[in-house]
Amino acid sequence: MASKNQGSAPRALVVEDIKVDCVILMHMLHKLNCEATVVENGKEAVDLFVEGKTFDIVFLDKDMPLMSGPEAVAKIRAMGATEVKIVGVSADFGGQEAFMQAGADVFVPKPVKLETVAAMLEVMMLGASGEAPRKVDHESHSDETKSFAKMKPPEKEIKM
Amino acid sequence: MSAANQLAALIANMFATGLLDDQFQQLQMLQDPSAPNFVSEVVTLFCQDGERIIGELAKQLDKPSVDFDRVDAFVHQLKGSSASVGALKVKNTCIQFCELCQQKSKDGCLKTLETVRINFYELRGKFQTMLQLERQVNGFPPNN
Repeated sequence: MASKNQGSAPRALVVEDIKVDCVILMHMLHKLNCEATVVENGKEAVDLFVEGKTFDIVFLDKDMPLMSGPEAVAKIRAMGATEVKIVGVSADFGGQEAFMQAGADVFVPKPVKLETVAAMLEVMMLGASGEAPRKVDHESHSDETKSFAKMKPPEKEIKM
Repeated sequence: MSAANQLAALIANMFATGLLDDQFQQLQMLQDPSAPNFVSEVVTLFCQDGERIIGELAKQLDKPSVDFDRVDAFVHQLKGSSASVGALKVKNTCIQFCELCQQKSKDGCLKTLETVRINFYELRGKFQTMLQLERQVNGFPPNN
């Protein structure tokens, strides 16, 4: 059902009910040049697929109202959406088994780190688009953001 | 001491005292010219959401018959958002809270809720100071 998105920005779907986590992941995806859509629970995610929407990658939280992440994954796969990459995300390590049994491609524990998302996109999307996602340059900080940026400890190398 | 130095000292202190962990550094690294207020937006959202969740927890635990699954769900939310912003002390207290929910211990949950409240409001106070100092560093007057 999900078509390959060749030569344009990866299309990501974020399925997350916790606003803080949603804002952070959306910002990471924006920095990595993804077009990101967000919904608040598994049912809304499934509804998008029923409507014929296509995505290259889906990030789902595990515990959400109305429909959990694993349940949504199972329904999305049952609809024939076998090409879309599905990432299960949870602070609950027990979520890995539930997501993988439901048909997710990979599980990532919370809190999610930018380098993890970047590496995942590079591996997962390289075959689809032929191009690696845009690399994040943490060295270029303008005066506008110097206050918080200056407070950080020595830079960790982002391995892409 | 300049506002910039005060801000640096405050953040260093928050790391040193275990209020924050390296996940907060992730937020700082995500801030860039395209999102110059990213950290303050996330911190503000965390504080608003945390206060809401603590209120819900108090309501749930005030009921004669406590629905521990519901309590656990709220604690799980706070644990998740705490972990995402690097709020180490609040996150660790939430981990203990989850265990007490599993044990269905109302007394234990009430005591831990109080600890969560204390830790959360300590962190929120420091975040508020951080944001005020950040405004001063950027040349804006402090909010009243």
